[in-house]
Amino acid sequence: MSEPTQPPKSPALRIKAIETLMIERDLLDPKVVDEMIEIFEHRVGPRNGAKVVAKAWADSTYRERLLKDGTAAIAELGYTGGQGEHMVVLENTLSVHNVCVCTLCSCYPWPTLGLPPTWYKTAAYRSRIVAEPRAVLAEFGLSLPDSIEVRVWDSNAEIRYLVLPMRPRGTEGWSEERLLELVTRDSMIGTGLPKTPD
Amino acid sequence: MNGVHDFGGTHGHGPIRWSESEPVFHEDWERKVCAVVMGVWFTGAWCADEARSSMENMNQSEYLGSPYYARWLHFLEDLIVKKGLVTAQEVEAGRVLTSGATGQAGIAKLTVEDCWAFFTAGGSIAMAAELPARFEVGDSVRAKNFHPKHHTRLPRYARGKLGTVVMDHGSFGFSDTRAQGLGDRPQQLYSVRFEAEELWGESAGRREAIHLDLYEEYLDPVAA
Repeated sequence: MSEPTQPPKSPALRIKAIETLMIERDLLDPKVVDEMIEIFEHRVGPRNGAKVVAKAWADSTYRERLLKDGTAAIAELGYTGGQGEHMVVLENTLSVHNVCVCTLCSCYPWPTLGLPPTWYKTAAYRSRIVAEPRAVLAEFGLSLPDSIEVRVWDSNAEIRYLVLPMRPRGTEGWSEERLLELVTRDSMIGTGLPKTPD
Repeated sequence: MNGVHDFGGTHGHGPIRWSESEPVFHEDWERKVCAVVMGVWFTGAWCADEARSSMENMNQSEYLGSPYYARWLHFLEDLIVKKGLVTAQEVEAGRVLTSGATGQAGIAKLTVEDCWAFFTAGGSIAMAAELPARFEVGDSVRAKNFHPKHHTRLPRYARGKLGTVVMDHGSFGFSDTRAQGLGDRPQQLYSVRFEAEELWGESAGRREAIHLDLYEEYLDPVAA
C-alpha cells in the first residue's frame, strides 16, 4: 500500500508555525519580530554606504582613513554591526574596477548596504561574475575597455567589501549632501557607476 | 561540501534578472522568516557557519528551485530542533507539545532593546591564531585540492589553483570546524588573488582577476 502523500506546507504556514511555537516556548518576543523587521527594512540600507562614499569624495583625509582601515572609518559614521565587523573598502581607479559577490551564499555588508537585492543572491550572478566579469558588467550596462583590470572579490569568509567608486566629473565644490544623491547601490557593489551631474 | 550551492563558474542558470530597486522583502513570509531568524540567531543559538552548512545540506533540487528565504526557513527549522530549542514534532504541529523545558542552556530570549544593540555590536570572530602566520603578502600559494563532505569556504573553482597573497586579514575562527561544532581552530586569513587564466584557462577574459579570502589551512606554499 503506498503511503499517503501530503502536499508540502507553504513557507507562510511553516514560518507561522515556527513563530507561534517559539513564542509559546518563551524563546521569542513578538515585539522582537516587529523590531527586526523595522531594522532590516528601514534602519539599514544603501543610504548608509552612500554617506560613506560621499564623505570620502568630499574629504580626502577621510578617504585615506577609509582605504587604510575600512572598519574604523565606517565606524566613525556609526555603521557598525552584523556582517560588517571587518570591512575592506576597494577603490575604483582609471585602471582598476572592483566588483563583489558571494558565490557560496549571499554574504553582503549589512550595516552599510542593508540586505542584498534578489539578483545578487541568484545562481545566475553568483556563477557568472567570477567567470566572465567584464561580460556580466556589460549586461548591467557597464562596458569597461580591456585597459581596465576587473577585480572580482568573492566574500567567502569574514571580510565584507564595499566599492568606493570614482567621483563623477563636474562635481567640483559639491557638498556632501549633493554628492550623496549621485551614489547608487550598484556602484558600491561594483555592478554600476554613480550617477553623473547631468 | 561539493554541493550545488558552490556556483562559481557553473553554467546554465539563465539571465541575470537585474532590477534597479525592489522592496527589501517581496512576500510577508520572507519578512517573517528574516525577522524570526535574526531574533533567534542574535541570542547566540547558532553561529553563521552552522546556518550556512545547514542550507548547503538542503535537498539539492530544493536548493536550486527554492526562493532565497526558503533556504533560511530550512536552516531555521533545522537548527531550532538540532539545538534542542523545540522538537521536530512541535515544528510539524506548530505548537508546544511537551511540558518540560527543552533548550540549550544559556539561550536568553532577546528583548526589543537588545535588537539594535546586538546588531550594531556585531559578531566578530576575529581571534588570536594558535600558530604564527605562515604566509605573507607577495607569497605564491596553491589552494588545496581537497573535497571535504563537511562545510568549507574554499570553492571548487579555486581548488588546486595557483594564487598570490595580496592581503593579510589577521586571524579568525575557522568556518570548517565551527560549522561542525568542532571548535574555533583560529588561523590566519588571507586575500589571495587568482588570475582569470589560472581559473578558467582558454575561457578566461582579458585582464580579470578573482580574489578569495582563504584560511591558512586551505593553502600550500609554492617554491619561489
